[in-house]
Amino acid sequence: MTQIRVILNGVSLTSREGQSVGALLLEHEQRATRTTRQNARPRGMFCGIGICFDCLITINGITNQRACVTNVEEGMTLETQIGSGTIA
Amino acid sequence: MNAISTEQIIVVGGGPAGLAAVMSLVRTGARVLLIDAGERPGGQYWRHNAESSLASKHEELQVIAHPNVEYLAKTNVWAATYRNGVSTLHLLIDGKLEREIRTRTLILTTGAYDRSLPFPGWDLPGVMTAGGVQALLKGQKSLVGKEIVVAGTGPFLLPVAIGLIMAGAKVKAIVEASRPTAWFTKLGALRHNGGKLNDFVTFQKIIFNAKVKIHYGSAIVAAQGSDCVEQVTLAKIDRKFSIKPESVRQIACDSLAVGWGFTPDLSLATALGCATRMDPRDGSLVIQVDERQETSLPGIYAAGEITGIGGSALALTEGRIAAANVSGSQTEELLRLRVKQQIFANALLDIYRVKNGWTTWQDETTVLCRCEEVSVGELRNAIVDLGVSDLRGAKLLTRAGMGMCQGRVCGQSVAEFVAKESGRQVALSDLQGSAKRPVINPIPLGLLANGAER
Repeated sequence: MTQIRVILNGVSLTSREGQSVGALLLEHEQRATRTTRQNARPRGMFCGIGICFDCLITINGITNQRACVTNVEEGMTLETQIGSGTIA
Repeated sequence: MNAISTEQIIVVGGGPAGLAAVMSLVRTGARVLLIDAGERPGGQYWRHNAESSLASKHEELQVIAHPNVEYLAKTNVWAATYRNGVSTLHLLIDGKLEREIRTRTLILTTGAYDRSLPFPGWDLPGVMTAGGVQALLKGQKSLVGKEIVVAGTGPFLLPVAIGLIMAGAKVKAIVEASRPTAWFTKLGALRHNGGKLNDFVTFQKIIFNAKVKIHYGSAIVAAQGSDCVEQVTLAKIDRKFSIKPESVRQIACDSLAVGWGFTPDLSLATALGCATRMDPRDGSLVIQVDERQETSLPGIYAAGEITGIGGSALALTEGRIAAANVSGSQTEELLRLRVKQQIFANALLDIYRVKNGWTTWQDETTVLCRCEEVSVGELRNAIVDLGVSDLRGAKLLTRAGMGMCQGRVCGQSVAEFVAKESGRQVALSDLQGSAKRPVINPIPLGLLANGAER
C-alpha cells in the first residue's frame, strides 16, 4: 500500500492511500479536530459520514474541511482549528 | 463527462435502493447515469474498503462496470431545480464544479443517516453515532476507541457491537432502550421474514460468547470527560423514556457509539420540490410516493429510506419497483414482496420507537444544536420569554438549525422539544421548516465566483 506523508500541526506523519484524515487522527489518538466558535469546546468526528460538519479541520490552509470524508494526499498540511480557523 | 440528453435516466444514491434500480434498468437495455457521494458504491449499508470482498458477494455492487452505466463517484448534487418535467442537477465532483445536467427521469435513493438525541456531553469527542463508528470500521478499518459503549435503540446496534468485538475492541456494554417483551405482539411480522430471526439469534450468540451484557429498557443519558469522553451515565428508563433515578450509575469508557434509529436524507428531494409527509411510525419527515414509487413531481421517483425507514431488503424491492415503472415492466410480484417487507419494517419501527421522555435528560447547559451551540436554556428562554412556539421561530431567535449541517442533526429533536415545551404534538410544518435547503451542500463562494460552470 502506498505510503503518504502528511504534516499535522507541524509534525510529519506517515499515512496510507485511501485513509481519511479522521481515521489518521484517531490512529494518533487525536480525538478533537477543532474547538467551537462560541464556547471553545473540543469537537471531533460525530456522524462520521459527512452529514454533521463537526469534524472541521484546516487542510492546506483551507478552513472548515470535513476530516471524515477527506482522504489524505501526499504532502497535505493539517492543522487543528481554533474556532472558525485562520485563513492562511 | 459526456454531454447527455434529458432522455438518460439518472439515479442519485448508490446504496441498495439505487443500485437495485440501476441493475433492473440496464437489464431492460436502458442507459443510466448513477451519481453517488461515496468513493465506491454501496452507500452506508454496503460500505466497504478497497481490500473488501463484499463486491463479489452482491451483484448490485458490480453493476457500475456495466457498459450501459455511467458512474460518477465522489459527486454531490449541491443545488437542484424542477421545471416543466425536467430536473436540473448542479454537480460538485471531487470538490470541483461541473456543468449542470438535466433529465426527465430521475430516481432518488439518497438514504438515511443516524438519528441523534441530545444529552449532556453528547458533543464531547469520543461520542459518535453508531453509523459513524460502523463507517470507520467498514470503510477505514479504524476503531473509534479501545473501550466502547454501544447504546440507543434498534436492531442496528447489534451488528455495530459485533463489528467492534471482532476488530478487537472491548465493548463495555450494549444499552437498548426497548424491552425484549415488545416482540411478543409482533411475532406475526416474522412469519414472512424468517431470515431476520436467524440473524438475530446469530448476533445474540456472538454477544453472549464475548460476555458483553445487553442492558434492556435502559439508555445512556449523559457523558462526562474533560477533552474527551471518560465515562457515561447508564439509567433504566420507563416506557416513555423518563429516567428511573434510583437506577443511575456510571460506566468508564473512552468512546460511545450511539444511534436512535435513522433520519431520511431528504435534502435533494425537497430542493426539487417533492412533497413530504410525516411518517406516523417514527415521526420522521419522508418523501411522499404513490404505489409506483413516483413522487408528487411527475418523472421523479423515490425509493429506499427517504420514503420511510425500512431497511435494506425493502430498499432493494422499492428500487426495483421504481425501475420497473420507469421501464414499463411487470411489478406484481415485487408489490407482493414489498407488502411483506413493510409489515416487518412497521413492526421494527414500533418496537424501537423513540418516546419523547428523552426531552427530560438535558440540563440547561446541554447543547441542542451542535453547530450553533444553542443550549436547552437558550431555547427554553425563547419559548417562555419570547413566545416561540414552532421550529421556525426557534431557528430565527436562537439560530438552532442554522449552522453548517442545516438542522440535519438537530431538526427533529428541536421540533420535538419545542412542541413538548409548548404542550402540543409535533406538526408536519415543524419538520418541513428545517427540511428545505436551497443549497444542498456547502460550497465555497470562491468556486461560484470563479464561474467554474462552463
